[in-house]
Amino acid sequence: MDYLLHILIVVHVYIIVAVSLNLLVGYTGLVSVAHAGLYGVGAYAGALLSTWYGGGFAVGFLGAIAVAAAVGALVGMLAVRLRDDLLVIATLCAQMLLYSVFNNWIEVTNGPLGVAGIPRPTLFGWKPSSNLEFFLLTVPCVAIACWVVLRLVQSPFGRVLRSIREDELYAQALGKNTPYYKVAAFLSSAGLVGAAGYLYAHYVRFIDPTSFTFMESILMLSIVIIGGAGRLFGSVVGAVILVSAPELLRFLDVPSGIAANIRQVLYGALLVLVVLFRPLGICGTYTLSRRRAT
Amino acid sequence: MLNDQSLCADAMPQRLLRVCDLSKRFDGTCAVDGFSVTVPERQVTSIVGPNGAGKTTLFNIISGFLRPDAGAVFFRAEPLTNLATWEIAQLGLSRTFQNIRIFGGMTVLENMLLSTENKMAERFLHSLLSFRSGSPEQRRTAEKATAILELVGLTDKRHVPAGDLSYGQQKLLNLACAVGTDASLLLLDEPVAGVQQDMIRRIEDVVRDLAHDHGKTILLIEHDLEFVMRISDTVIVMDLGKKIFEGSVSDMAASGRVLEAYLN
Amino acid sequence: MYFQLLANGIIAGSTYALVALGFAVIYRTARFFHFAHGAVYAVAAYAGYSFATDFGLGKPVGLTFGAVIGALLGVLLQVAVYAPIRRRGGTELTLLLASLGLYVILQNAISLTWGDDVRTLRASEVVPGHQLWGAYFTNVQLIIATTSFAAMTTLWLVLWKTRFGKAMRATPSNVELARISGIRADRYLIYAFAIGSLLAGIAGGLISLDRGLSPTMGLNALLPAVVAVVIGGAGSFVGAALGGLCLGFAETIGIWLFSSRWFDAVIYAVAIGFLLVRPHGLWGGEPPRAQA
Repeated sequence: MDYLLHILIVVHVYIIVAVSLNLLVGYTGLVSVAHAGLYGVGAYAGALLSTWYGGGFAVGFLGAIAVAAAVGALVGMLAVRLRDDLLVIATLCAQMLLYSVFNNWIEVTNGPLGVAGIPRPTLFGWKPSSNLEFFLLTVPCVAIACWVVLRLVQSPFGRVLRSIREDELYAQALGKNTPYYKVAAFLSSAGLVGAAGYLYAHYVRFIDPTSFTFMESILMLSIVIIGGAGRLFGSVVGAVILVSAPELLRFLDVPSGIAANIRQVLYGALLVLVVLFRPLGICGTYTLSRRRAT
Repeated sequence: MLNDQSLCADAMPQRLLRVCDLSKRFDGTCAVDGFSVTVPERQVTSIVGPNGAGKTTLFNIISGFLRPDAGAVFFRAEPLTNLATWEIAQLGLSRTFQNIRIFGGMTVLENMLLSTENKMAERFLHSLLSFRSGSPEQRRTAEKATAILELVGLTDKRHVPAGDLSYGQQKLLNLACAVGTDASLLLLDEPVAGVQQDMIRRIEDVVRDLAHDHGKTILLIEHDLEFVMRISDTVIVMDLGKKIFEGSVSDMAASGRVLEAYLN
Repeated sequence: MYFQLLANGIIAGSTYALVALGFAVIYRTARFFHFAHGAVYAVAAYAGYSFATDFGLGKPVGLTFGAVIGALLGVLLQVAVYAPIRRRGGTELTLLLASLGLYVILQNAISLTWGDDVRTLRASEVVPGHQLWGAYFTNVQLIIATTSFAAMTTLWLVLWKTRFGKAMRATPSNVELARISGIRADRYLIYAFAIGSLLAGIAGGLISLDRGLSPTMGLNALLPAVVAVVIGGAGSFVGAALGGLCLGFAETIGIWLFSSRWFDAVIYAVAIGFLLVRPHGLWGGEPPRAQA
C-alpha cells in the first residue's frame, strides 16, 4: 500500500512537470530542454529555505516557485531571439549552466554531496510524515497546478500563446508583443515546475545534482510529446503511463539498476516511435512536424 | 505646388501616412528607390506595377518587417523606422500578406478574437486572476468580433478551423482581422489575387465600405486592374522601385504609363 | 611550461575537433543537430574495446573495427530513422527530437550490454614518455594527436581535392529540394553520416586509449562538439575543427589559470552569447535561420 502511494506521489509530481512543460512546448510551440534545470532550481530553493530557515510550507513553496519563475524568465529571454532547433541548443546550454551551478556552487548547494535532511514541510502545524499524508498534500497541489494551466490556456493570454505557436510573425502583425508572451510562458512554466521540484525535494528529503541533468530534461520532454502536446489531458495521461509503467518492472524482479536503464530505453524508444508514426502522441492536438511559417 | 518632399520637411500631424524618400537595396538591386508618398485619408489608394516593382518590399518596410537603407516613414508624424512590427500595429496600422498568413489551427472566431481582443485582457495576470468571464469588456470584444464576421459574411463558419476555409474565405478572414484591430490605416497586399469572381465582389464591397462609411484609409497592392479601377480613389504606379505615376483613375487611364510599365 | 600547455591543449583539442568535425559534416548535409552523434562515438569506443580485449584482436585492429562499427551505426540511423521521418514531413526540430530519443536508447543500451563500470584500455605498465622542448607527453598522447590530425588532413583532402568531395560540399542545403530533383541527395546524406560517424568512431577509439570508457562518455564528447560548432559555425568545417581545438586549449589553460570548477559554466555562457549575437558562429557563412 505504501508502495502504491509512493508511485502516486511520483506520478503527481510528474503531472505537474509535464503540464508545465506542455504549456511551453504544446501551447506556445517553444521546445526547451532546460526544464530539469528549472525543476532543480525549485528543488534547491525549497530545500534550502527549509533547511536554512526552517521555513514552513508557505514560505518554501512560494519561495521555490518565485526563484524558479525568475530563472525561467531569464531562460525565456533566449526564446525572444531564437526559434525551433536553435532554441533547443540554447536551452541545452542553459540546462548545462544550471547543472554546473548545482554541482559547483558548493557554498550554497553543497555540490555533488547534495542537500540532505530536508524536513517535511509544516502546514498550519501539520507535518505530513507518512506516504499517505504526503500524498494528501500533493493532491491539491496537482489540482491547483492543472487549474492554473487550464485557466491560462483557455484565456485570451492562452489564445495569444497559441497564435505564436501557429504563426509568430502574423501575431506580431496583429499587434501582439510576442517577446513578452514568450517570456511570460517561460516564467509561468518555470514557476510550476519549481513547485514540483519543491514537492520532490521534500518527499525524498535528499537532493543532489544527478536528478537534474540534461538526460532528465529529455525524459520530461518525452513525456509531453508521447502523451500529446497541446492538450492538458495528454500530459496527465503521459505522466501516469510513463511513470507507473516502469514500476511494473519491480514486480518482475528486475534489479533496480537495469530497471532504470529499461525505463530510459522505453522513453527514448517511444519518443522516436511517436515522432515517426504518431506525431500527435497519445492524445495531443499539436504536432511539431508541421512546418511553421517563417 | 506641394510635393511630397516638402510635406516631409515640415511637420503636419494631420497626415496619416507619409513615406519620405525610402530606399532599400537587396544584393545590389534597388527594390525601393527614393519612393515618397502622402497617402490620402479615408480613401482607397492602389499601388500597381509589374512583379519585382518593389510593392511588397514597400509594405514590409512600412509595417516594420524590414528596415530601409534610407528614408523614413511617418504615421501621424511618428517615425516608424525603429519600431517593432507589433508596436507599429498597435499604433493603428494593419496589414495583410501576399501569401495568406492565418492561424490555421484555430477557429475563425478565435482568429477574430485575437484581433479584436482588449490588450488588457490578454495580459498574464489579468487572464489568470480575472473571474469575470462574462464581464462587459469581454462581451464587447465578442460582439465586435461577431459583428465583423457578419460584415464579411463568415458568421456560419466561425467555429471552423481557419485552415479549412477556402482560399477566398481565408482572404476575407485576413481582411476581417485587419479591420478588427481597429486600425485606421490598412495595407492590403493583393486582397483579391487568386480569388473567384463572386468573392472579389464581396471583398470589393467590404473595402469600399471601410473607406467611405467607416473612415478607414486603405492602401492596397493589386494586379487585377479592373478591380483597381473600380475601387480606387487614387492610383500609384510603381516600377523598378520608383513611383512613376500618381493620380486619379481617369488620369491613369488617360496616360499610358501603366501599360508602359507592364510591357517593359 | 608553455609548450606543455600547448601540447596538452593540442591533445585535448584534437579529439574535440574530430568529434566536432564529424558533427559538422553531418550538419552541413543533413541540416539538423544529430545529437545521437555522441552515442555513435560511445558505441564505437565500446565496440572497439570489445574487439580489442574480448575478441583479442589487439588495440590497433580492434579500435579500427570499432570506428567502422560507428560509421555503420550512423548510416543505420539515417536510413532507418531519419530518412523515414523526412519522408513523413519531419522538420529540423522533429529530427532533433528523434535524435535525442536515439541518444537515450543507445546510451542505455551500452549500460545494459557492458555495464556501468568504467572500462579502460590503458596499458597497465607505466611507460616512460618523451620530451620535446620542455613538453612532456606519452606515446599514447602522441598517437592520439597524430591520428587526429591525420584524420582531419585526410578529410580535407577528400572534401577539397576530390570530385566526390566537391560534390558533397556542393549538395544543396535544401534536402527536400534536392530530393525532388533526384535520388542523389539521399545518397549524399548516407555518405555524410558515414564520414561523420567514422570520425566520431576514430575519436572514440582514441579517447579510450587515454581515458576510461563509461556509458555517459557520449554526452561528454557531444556537448563540447555542439559548443564548438556553435562558436565555429554550424555550416563550416574549418569552424568546427578550430572550435574544437580552441575548446581544448581553453580547457587546458582554464584549468591551469583559474579553478576549474566554473570552466563548464563559462563555456556554456559563451555559447549562449554566440547563439544570441552570432548564431552562424565565427566562420559559418550561412545566414542565421529561423530568427525572430
